Amino acid sequence: MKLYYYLCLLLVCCLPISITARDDGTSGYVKGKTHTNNWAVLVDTSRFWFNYRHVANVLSMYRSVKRLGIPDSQIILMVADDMACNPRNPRPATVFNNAHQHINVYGEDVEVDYRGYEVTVENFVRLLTGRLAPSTPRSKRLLTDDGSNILIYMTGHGGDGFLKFQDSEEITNVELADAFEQMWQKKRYNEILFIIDTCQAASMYEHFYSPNILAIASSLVGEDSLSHHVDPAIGVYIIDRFTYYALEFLERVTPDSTKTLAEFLQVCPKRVCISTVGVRQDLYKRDPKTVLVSEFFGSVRSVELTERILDIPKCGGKGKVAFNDSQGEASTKENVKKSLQRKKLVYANQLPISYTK
Amino acid sequence: MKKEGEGEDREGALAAAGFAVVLVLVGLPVWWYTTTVYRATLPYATIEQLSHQLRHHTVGLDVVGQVRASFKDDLETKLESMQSVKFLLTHRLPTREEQTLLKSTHQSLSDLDLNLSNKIHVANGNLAVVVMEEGNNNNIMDNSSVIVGRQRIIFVTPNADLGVLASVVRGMVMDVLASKRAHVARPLHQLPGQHKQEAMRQVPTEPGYDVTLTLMVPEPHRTKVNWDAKAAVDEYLGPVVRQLESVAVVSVRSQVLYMTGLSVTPEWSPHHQHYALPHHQLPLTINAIEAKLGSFVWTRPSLHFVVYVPRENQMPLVIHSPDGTPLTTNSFLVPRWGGVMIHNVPPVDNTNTTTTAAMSPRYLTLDSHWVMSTVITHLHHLLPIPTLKETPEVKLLAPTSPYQLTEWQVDALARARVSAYLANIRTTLQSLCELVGEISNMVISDEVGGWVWGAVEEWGECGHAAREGRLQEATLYCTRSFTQADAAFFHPSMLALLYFPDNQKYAIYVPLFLPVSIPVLLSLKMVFSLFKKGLKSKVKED
Repeated sequence: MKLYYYLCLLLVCCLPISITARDDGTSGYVKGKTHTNNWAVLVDTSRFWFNYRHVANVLSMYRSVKRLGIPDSQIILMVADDMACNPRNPRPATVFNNAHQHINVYGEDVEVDYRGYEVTVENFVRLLTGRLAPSTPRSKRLLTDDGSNILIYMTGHGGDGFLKFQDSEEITNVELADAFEQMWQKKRYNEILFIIDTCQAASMYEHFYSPNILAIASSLVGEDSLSHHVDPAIGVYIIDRFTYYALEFLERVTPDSTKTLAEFLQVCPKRVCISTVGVRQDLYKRDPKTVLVSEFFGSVRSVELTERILDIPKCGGKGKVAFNDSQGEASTKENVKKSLQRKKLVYANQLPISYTK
Repeated sequence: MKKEGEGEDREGALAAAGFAVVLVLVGLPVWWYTTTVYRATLPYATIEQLSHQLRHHTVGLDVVGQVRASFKDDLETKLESMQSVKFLLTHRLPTREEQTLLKSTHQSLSDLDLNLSNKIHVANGNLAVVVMEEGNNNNIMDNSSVIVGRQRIIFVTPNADLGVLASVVRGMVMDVLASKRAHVARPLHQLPGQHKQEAMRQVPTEPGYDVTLTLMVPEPHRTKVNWDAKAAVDEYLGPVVRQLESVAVVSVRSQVLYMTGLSVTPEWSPHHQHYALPHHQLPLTINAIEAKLGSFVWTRPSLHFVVYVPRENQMPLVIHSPDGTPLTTNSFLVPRWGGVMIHNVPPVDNTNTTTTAAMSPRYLTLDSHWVMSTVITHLHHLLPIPTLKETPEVKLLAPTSPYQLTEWQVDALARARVSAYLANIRTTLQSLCELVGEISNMVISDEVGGWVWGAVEEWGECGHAAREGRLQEATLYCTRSFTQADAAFFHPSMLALLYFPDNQKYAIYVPLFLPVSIPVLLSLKMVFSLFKKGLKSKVKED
């Protein structure tokens, strides 16, 4: 009788273990990171003073992404209007996301790649698909490869199935989905985290069909995304709710933190955001609970320590580390003079106006 | 009265018929011709056919020497398992000159290797296996059964294990992991363990790379570094770059970066008497400096090699591995990006210097050999240059200066790159065809058409050359084809956004044609009814 009891207990204990083991095998989630570098594309699509909050949104994201480590050469920042140096700005050269001026998101070294009227649907799609004119400088290109994780953040005025660019044109969700598919076919990304903070934002990710995209929208179809608060000195709303709480979350993240994407997905519950945050996870094969926030917002490289270096035969003369005292000064001065006399100064070949075949 | 009414009706009918005729016979063709876009014809069928062709490399393997009869067949069976490479084995006895060389007793293996390579003339992309004589020159083989030469010859003892020889040949021909990867062509996240690590480390296959050597001196007022970078590059990197010219164009530049340091917080280790930099601080070190490295003009993939001279108050700085031991090489590799090495300088001799002397900057010269060895090691890992593991059975002859790479290494690299190119070109051209098919009114200019035709032709030639074992030609064809295919795919006019998709055609043409066609169609009804009446009246009359 007792034996029977104990056997039953054992069985009951073993059952959940076997279930979870089977679950891991068939859940289909891919573990471990697979990216080698990080890029960010941050887009603000609206201009004019009353859209101050959109510029503050995108600069908040820029600030977080830069603070967590992604270098400027791998951030494409598209801002449609200049709020910091706008004549209506009572605090010039600053953009705050808070009426009490807690954080100046404009910072001290902001590098805007596409500014003002350059922020158009065509430029955006050209940037994503890589079909740029040959004379486009490197800072305006998205030079990703198959190991790049890209963070794409878009903000502005949106509607059901479109996002308005600069009051004159729109990008539809079909065009965006096609652009991502072109990127996927040419293996220009490993994973994309797509965040959009507009009204009816969830409609923008409805038509995605390329794999490895995790999409977060600040509101569902039929809902409006709301702004957070007004700054009386500026006179308009200065930040949107979703981005305000997202920034609050990201401010607590350090480059080596272990916060996961699952926590980021919960950053704006309905009681603070009023609109419902929409998430599209079916194209993303990894479990957000195992993905770190720094895999998209930061730039943590995998590093391999070199165990041994090759034994290369020595060439030529100067070898050992040496440091010279006073004689060194004289000799280096002579060397410098000699090298200056020998070298003929020429202009560098700076204009890439033809395709290098 | 009736006649007049009839006449009017008839006139009306003729007018309506006239309108309809003009609309159909003149309007439709004019509309058709003025709205066709110029689309250069593309070789869709050829692309389809070439995509499904199985690709493999052929390597000729020459066995030279006196061997038992089953040697060649056994070796052939053992080599069959390699998926993307087919071997063509031939066997011949050595010629008299070769025999004299093999028999001569007073020479080292490297001399034998050199002389034999001149005599045997192994073609580019092939290998030769030379079987040493029994009982002769026993000490030349140094107690191992397989020795790999510097060019394309493998020396084996007659009773060597064929399995070992087969694995050596497989490793020499193409990096085993790379061959599996190219055969399957899966994206990164679907590759298993070691494949993924290898694929994540090596740079993407492109025709050219930009190598930038950066010397970082964070405190130039304390340390004046005198390093003749040009001479170091010419002496050490120059030969490697020249050897790789047939495979990839590498352009090397160097720069010195002042007043920038790595933002690390090392701890003084009294046990080792140096500042210890734990390995977990390394992943975030290069982010701050990355924006300052590299060119802002070229769009080729770039590799950065950084030589860091630590700050005065952090000197000497040594990286510690996870188990706490200091790393002798003091350098680390960042996959797909480059490498960083920390170059420490000897400590300042504080005993007999006055304060003013201590404040003045000290001049120092870098150890070029150490720096360039590290750079070349990192470059070998990144490209990647295939290597073989040395065991007691298998040994490799070390390369001699100035040739750092052996011929078979360059061949293997070329082969791996050709496989990668072929897979890449296939996806590019297939994707392009899909895009062009989807948007039926996308303009295909002559420029793009020319590139696609060129790319397809050379793609076919490359596959052909690879199957026949002509490796150098295959590399050339593939590089050109890849460049052309990419130029066609990324041409600014291929943007789908610029053209109306098919489902928007109705939205454009309906408002245009419907207001015009409705009256015409309705008046046609009138024409037909009149025509029928006319027929009926004729019948009546008859």
